[in-house]
Amino acid sequence: MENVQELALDILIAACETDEVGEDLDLDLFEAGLMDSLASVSVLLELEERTGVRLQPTDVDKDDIRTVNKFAEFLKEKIG
Amino acid sequence: MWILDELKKRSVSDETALIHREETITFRQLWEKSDAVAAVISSRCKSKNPVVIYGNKDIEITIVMLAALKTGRAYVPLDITFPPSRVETIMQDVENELIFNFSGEEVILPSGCTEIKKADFSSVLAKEGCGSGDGAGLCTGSRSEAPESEYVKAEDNCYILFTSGSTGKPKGVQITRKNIENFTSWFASSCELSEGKQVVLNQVSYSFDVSVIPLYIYLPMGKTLFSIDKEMLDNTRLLFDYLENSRIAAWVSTPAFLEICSFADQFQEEMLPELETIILAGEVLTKKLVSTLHNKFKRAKVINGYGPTEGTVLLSACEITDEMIRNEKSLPIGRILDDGEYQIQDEKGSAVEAGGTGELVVVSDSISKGYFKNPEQTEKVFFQTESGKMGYRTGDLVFEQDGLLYYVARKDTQVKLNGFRIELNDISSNLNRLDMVNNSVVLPVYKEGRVSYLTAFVVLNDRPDLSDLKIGIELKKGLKEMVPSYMVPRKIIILDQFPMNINGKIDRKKLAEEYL
Repeated sequence: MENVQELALDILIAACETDEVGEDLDLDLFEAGLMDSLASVSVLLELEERTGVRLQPTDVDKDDIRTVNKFAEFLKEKIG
Repeated sequence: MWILDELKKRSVSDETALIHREETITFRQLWEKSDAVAAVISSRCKSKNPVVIYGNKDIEITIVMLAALKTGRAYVPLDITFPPSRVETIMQDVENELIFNFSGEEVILPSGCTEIKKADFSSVLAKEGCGSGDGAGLCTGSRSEAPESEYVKAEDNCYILFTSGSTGKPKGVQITRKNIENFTSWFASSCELSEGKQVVLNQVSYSFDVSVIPLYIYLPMGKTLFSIDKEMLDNTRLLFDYLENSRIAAWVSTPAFLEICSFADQFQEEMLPELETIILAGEVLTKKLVSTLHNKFKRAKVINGYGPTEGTVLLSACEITDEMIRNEKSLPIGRILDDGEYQIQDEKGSAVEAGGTGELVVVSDSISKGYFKNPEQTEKVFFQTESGKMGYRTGDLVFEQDGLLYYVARKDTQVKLNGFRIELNDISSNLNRLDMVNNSVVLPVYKEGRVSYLTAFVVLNDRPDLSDLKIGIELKKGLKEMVPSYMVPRKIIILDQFPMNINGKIDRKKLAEEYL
């Protein structure tokens, strides 16, 4: 799925509520202070809204949403 | 109900008092070890200055808290979300002679202060815990019992909680035994559990006073506290693994934490079959969350509590009924506590008309005697009545209807973010201490009526050759060394200059309109 990367980016931009997420796809979002535990719940909400796929908080590790690229990989595996 | 009286009655009980992961401690061990730690504190500290505890949810922390109370000293609990530099600032204020540092962080000790780290805790107890005084050899035979005459008395401080202060320096709220007893004597009846129900969630950080509910109400009732640490909060799978086997009957937390848990389908009655009481406090409780809870846990009652740290945990509370959810108003924060007298005041300090909105002012034995070594800030918000009772102007705007109070907003720039109390000026004052920063303003961003995150607007001295994102990350790093991590704004917007209003002040409204 080609647009998984884009989907990952869109979801993380929406969850972190900032476009800055897109500036560096390997940026550690937790370290950059853009992502926290509440935002990680938003990731699941955004995913469900956009794709209809409902994942559980237990399905996602912190590392899966640490960077845009890692999240894209994760999505490929889960829904790709 | 006083914690030391009740725990003394249980001092030969081999029931479990606390659980943290695979570690447990019985009421007997808790009592005996706190006696030993009391001996260590007494021999190491010449003054009655408070003892500082820097850590997260380790079982040892509770031992130290009780030990401090047994020696007539207050404790200052500082969570690991506090960076070492903030701990150091607080220690200079407190002039403590001893810090129990279970954080794994290095802190610079003020002169005359010694440190006990987690790894050395047991060996220090073995060496110094019998109160022989010389610390030369291991304790043998008879164990020392802290004399009851030394225990904290009604007017003595039990804990001092350092909360965000608008000048950039944290304010210490002093809470006495009388304050705590006044709170527990009122709120304990709301906490009662059915026969046979035993386990209570102990998740709230000790530097936040909602943690007083498990500690000073449930533990003295003989209940078992089930501790959740920061690593478990960051890892839902790990958290649920523990919760599943916890048999928790009473849940005490902020709405934010429960909301995160509730997002998981498996978080429901089958996971916590014994759950019957949910106590939420620390921030606005939404109808959406309560409805979700009513669906997930059909047998559990939900209690909404309200109160600033200055009023000892809660000043009002009530059970949330289905009728309240159906009502068009937001959820109430309840009725004022038993001994509380209150008034809702307008800007001039006169009572508003019935049903009107104004600042909640409360007089009660739960009200703190004021901020630690800070008469200036104390005078601004605390007062004493003719009868000698303490009063506090909460800064919270509320209205009353049918005997229930409803929260409306803050009258100043204090915000609650995920239950954490933050003075926005605390953040900007600290941002301004960074070399790169000329001036800054921090504003909350609201989503569905609640603070979702914080945004800082920054004007730089010299612009380094970096992207705004990279500069923002640098600033966040610098800030994180000075304030708790939850106070670091998610977004940083770099500006060439601030918009000014006609009074020559930074126009916050315009900033919000333009960027948020």
